[in-house]
Amino acid sequence: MKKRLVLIIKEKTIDLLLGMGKIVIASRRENYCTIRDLKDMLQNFMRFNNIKPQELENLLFIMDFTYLLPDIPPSSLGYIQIGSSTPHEQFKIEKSFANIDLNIYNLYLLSTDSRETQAKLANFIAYLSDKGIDKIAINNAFANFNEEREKSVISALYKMGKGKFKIFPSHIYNVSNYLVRENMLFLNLLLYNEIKKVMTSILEILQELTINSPLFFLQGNGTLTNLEGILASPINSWQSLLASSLIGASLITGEKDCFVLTEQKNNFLQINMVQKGTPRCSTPFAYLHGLTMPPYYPWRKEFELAAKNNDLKNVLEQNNLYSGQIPVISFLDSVKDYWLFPYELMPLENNLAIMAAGAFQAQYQLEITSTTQDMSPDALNKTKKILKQKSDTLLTQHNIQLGNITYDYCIIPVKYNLQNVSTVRLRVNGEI
Amino acid sequence: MKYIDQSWIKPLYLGSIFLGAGGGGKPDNILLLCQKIFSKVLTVPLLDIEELAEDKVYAATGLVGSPEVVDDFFCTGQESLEALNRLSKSINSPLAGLFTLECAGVNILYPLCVAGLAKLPLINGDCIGRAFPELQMTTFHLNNQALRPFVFSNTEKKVYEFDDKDNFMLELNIRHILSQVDNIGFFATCPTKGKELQKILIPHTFTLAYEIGRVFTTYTSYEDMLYNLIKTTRNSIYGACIELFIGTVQQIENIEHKHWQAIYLKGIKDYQEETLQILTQNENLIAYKNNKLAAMVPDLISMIDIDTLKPINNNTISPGMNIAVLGTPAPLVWKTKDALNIVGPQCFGYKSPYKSLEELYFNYYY
Amino acid sequence: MRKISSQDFLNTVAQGLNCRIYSYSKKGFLLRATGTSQYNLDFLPAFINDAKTKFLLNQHITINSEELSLDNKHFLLHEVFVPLTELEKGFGLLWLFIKEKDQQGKKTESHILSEDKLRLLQTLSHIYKVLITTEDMREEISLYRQLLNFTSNMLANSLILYDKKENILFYNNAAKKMGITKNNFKKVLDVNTKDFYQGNKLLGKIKYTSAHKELLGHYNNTIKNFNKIIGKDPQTDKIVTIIKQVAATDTTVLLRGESGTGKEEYAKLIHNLSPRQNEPFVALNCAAIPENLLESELFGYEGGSFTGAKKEGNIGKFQLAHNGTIFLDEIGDMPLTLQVKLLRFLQERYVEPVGSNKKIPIDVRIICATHQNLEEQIQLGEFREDLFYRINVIPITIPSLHYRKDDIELLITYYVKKFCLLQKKDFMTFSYESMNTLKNYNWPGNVRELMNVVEYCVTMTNKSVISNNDLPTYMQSERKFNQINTEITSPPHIKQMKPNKTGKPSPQELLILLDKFGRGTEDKKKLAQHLNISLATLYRWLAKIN
Repeated sequence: MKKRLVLIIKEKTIDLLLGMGKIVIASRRENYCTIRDLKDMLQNFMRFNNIKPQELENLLFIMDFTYLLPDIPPSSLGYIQIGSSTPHEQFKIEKSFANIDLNIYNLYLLSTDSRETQAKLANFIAYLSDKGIDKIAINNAFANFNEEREKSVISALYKMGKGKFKIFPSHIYNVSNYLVRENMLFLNLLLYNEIKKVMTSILEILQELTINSPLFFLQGNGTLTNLEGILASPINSWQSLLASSLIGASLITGEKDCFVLTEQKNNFLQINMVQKGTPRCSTPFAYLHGLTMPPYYPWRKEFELAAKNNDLKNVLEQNNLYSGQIPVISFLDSVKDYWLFPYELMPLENNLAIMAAGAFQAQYQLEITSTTQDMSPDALNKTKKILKQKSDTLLTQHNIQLGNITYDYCIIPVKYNLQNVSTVRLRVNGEI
Repeated sequence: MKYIDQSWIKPLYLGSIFLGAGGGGKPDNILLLCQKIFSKVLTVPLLDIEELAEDKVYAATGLVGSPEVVDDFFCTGQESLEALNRLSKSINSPLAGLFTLECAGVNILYPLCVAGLAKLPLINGDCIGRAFPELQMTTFHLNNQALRPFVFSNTEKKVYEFDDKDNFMLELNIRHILSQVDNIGFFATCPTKGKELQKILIPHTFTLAYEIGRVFTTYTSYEDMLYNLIKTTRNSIYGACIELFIGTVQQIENIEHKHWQAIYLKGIKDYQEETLQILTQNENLIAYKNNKLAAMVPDLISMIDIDTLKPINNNTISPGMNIAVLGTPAPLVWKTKDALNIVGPQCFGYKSPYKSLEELYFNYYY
Repeated sequence: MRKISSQDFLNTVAQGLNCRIYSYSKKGFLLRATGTSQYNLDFLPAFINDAKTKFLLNQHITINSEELSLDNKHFLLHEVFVPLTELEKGFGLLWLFIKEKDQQGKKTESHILSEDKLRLLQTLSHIYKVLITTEDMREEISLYRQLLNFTSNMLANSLILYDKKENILFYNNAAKKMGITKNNFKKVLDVNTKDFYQGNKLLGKIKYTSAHKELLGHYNNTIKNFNKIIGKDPQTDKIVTIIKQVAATDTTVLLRGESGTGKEEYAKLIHNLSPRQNEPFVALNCAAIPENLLESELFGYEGGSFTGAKKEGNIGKFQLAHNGTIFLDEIGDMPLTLQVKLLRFLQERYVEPVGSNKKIPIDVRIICATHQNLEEQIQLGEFREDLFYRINVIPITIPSLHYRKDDIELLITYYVKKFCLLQKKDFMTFSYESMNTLKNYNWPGNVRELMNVVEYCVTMTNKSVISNNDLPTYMQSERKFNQINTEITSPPHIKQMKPNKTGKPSPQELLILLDKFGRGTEDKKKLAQHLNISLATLYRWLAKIN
């Protein structure tokens, strides 16, 4: 049977776990260890467990890149806002991260089809080059319905900038909220250089060890993505460690739907939830240091143990989405059964093997959307077909073969205009 | 005459969501715009209906299309000025003031921004008194008045003009164009003399939105908030709101062929072991408590997040939220037989006849 | 160690032994199958119906290759059915071993199944049975947990449930509300204990108290009580604040205001908010009862104490209101002789029924009301000063509608809906003009008059919109006069506020109403009720017309 390697990388520790199928068969932890030490560690681990590089089916990374945020060096970027006639100037990210020094150079484009636009872009590029800035974020009003505006600007930028600029588009996020896209753009842009550095060194190490297996990264929503995916949106790795524990706990206990009590910090219990074997995501938004983020990260609820009249059972009841009770898995010794009655308590030790099992169980996910101006069943079916073809092409491009593949379509009509416009979202899930 | 100043903005924002009855859009970005415009010590006069000059012409302004996409865009208020200028030219008369067609959702703060920029007074009244999805669902239509001319500009300030005699046709024509212009337009319409307008507008809705919003900014316990919400609505032409349910959102299900959504709630607090189901389209249409009718359109079914004590609309709602569901009687004009033909449950594809909150909860009201 | 569900178990075993397994329920339905092939095996092979069957081997093959969707490269090697219970038919596992034919298309293995393998299948089948029984049991336990939770929370008894090691398993809402926990349970006096056993083995116990009375019928109706007071003006707010404060006490309240302002409603509100809310509320209009009967009405009488008195005597209103509230309306019209007796009651708190010398102690809260200017009456010698100071502890003045112009529209909207519902009519609105007429009207009869006008309009109109022409004629004619009158902004002197006009309909209107209600005695009773007047008054009015 083919072997799979899980790398759980935190700021100061690295854990290696070996699995066959979904079963963990070996593990090793190194404390006070950074990426530089990864080579020796990996070499030893493979020798010790008698693994040959070609035997490795794939490498799964559980790595929360947001740990890099506090040490981000000062950055500068160009920010093109399309279709917005009011320059909006309050960037929330500066309030949320006091340490981050971000210089933003704005350009506002009301429309993109005029000749004036080309001139504006050319000026902007020249200005950015002068300042030595090589990253441009683009945010586009109605990015979900109107990708074309953004794409035309991107192609113009490529032409004019001769590929000098790294461009961060907004339509790839599938989020219909301007400010949320902006938060995503800035965070990803800030992380990009750092994560690139980290990944380059990892890739070099793997090359030296002649490991050519594909790499996958666990994301906060409990799905896997490939290297391109994580580079496009490194912020999606936020809370991936928690996600792995949640999936693992669900797998080990066999409970597809359950609460998980994951952490206790200063009298606060953290409650998470698993739905259909994957982490319940925080909807409609998640919040990272007060920044509004899309619902791609685990939902959590804090429960104050000391608070009077605060009953854990009631908190569970108020957050239970099902008609009946679901089991409560607890990583914590301090929780007693009578706090939860009639909920059933299942104590479980949270360990690396559970996290690794979570990563083995996680599915690869690809999400794409398309907008249609016609809501007739024929038109919708056509859109669905196009989306499926597009997803197949993308998967082949990235050389990913999925087992047990599922296609999940969701039609989201634009409210108040539902006769005309709707977004169709396709989520492709499968086992790697 | 009253004056709207900076202190009104936050209450109006919250009141607008409550009166949106689940729909009408969440005007977060417009709130930012409003704060910006009003930061330069600005006041906008607010005219009561009785104060309108009989022979002067007033016009409606606001957003048409999907208020839901406002999240994705920063408007300036300038868009509507284009439309108002065109309207004024078209009827060859200056405008003495503005009003909103729909005193709910985005169409409270946006017209306020426009009035501030145009330096025109705003009228304390509207044509719906809540949020409704279509143009014929207005008291203009109820009074056999066409919304003409109807001028709107798109996000890029391109102006379109309509002059349909039939409000249904107008609605269709506008929707057709809207899907090509980012689903949103900024309009000016219904130029009307004060004397006529007095008969058409639903009075005092703007101040009601403010008073409702004030309740949410003032009180920090649910009981106080509810008591004062009831007091505020009771002393309005709507009638007292009533607590229908408190519960956890279990799931939100799409009923695709009807474009309906069903929100399922599981009771908490005093409603343990009970259920509530809300059917919504754009706004909340019907609520069933334990499978029995609890409230229906045109009465307002509004939702409050009981963890934050702020009103929420359908876009913000998500599974796991703990919400209180309140019913508020619609303004009486919408409850007559003629009006129910325009905004009654049948107009949203629901077959049963209208049953008012006052009828369902007679002992609560009388 | 990963937890294995029964389905997981079947899948893993099927993979390991390279076979297909079908699980049949107690009623013979196919529950689940392993393997990925598209089986259409949703029926029960006939042989499985025999409960005594231990195993079924190849000679009983009843399934053909087609049904198994086998191609001609495969063949069915073994077919074994293992029943999972001796008692019921058809509950068990069907094991199918399918093998590939060799290159010549021949079946390579023998059909004979070794005893070892048979025993293995039997053992595995029983492990499966244990697994599904555990799963069923878990569901059952979950059901009992929920039932226990639900039913015990319905109780007004506090209860705490312990396991055999005295760990708390559960306590109900009543225990929580009473603040009873494991630690302070001992302080509660009436604790009972019940132990639970299996055989002689202790399983757990329950500690419980008797029902807490406070928890029964607990209902906060503050909101509901205030719900009917409509008034935007600060004065209404002030009244509500005062009422909230005085309601909790037993202080005597004097309600003042013009007639028709709804003083009795306010009195009821005070009663409903007070600790006496579940005790009687007794109202008495002092002006409506002849002077000679008032005393016996108030204090009761002994049998045969005066002519026309009932033989068995009668209980007075004060006695009826014992523990509750008595509301004395129009106290200004009370004769001086009785004022003395009332004063004595207020000082001594007992009543002496007419014709009796028994003293009956009474605990009652008194609310008085009047539209009269009592201060003036005192000067005229019509009202006792000492009584005035007794009852005027908390004076509350209810503003007349004349001063609450803003509320007129609210009240009209409120009542028009009420009367539409009562008369089962579609809802109606007032046009802008008719609403203006009503707003500009003086409303000498206050809210009572407003109600009557609205009811008149609802009764007489059959359109969606009530226009000026649908208003009572006296209002239509008075319109112009009132428009001029509203120019005068200074409030008239208190003496002038006395009602000079009631909601009395014009003769024409009366005739229309008569046509509507009918001319029989019962019909006239209804009409009188409708006009909020006594039948006698109606006859008086009708007599005048004739």
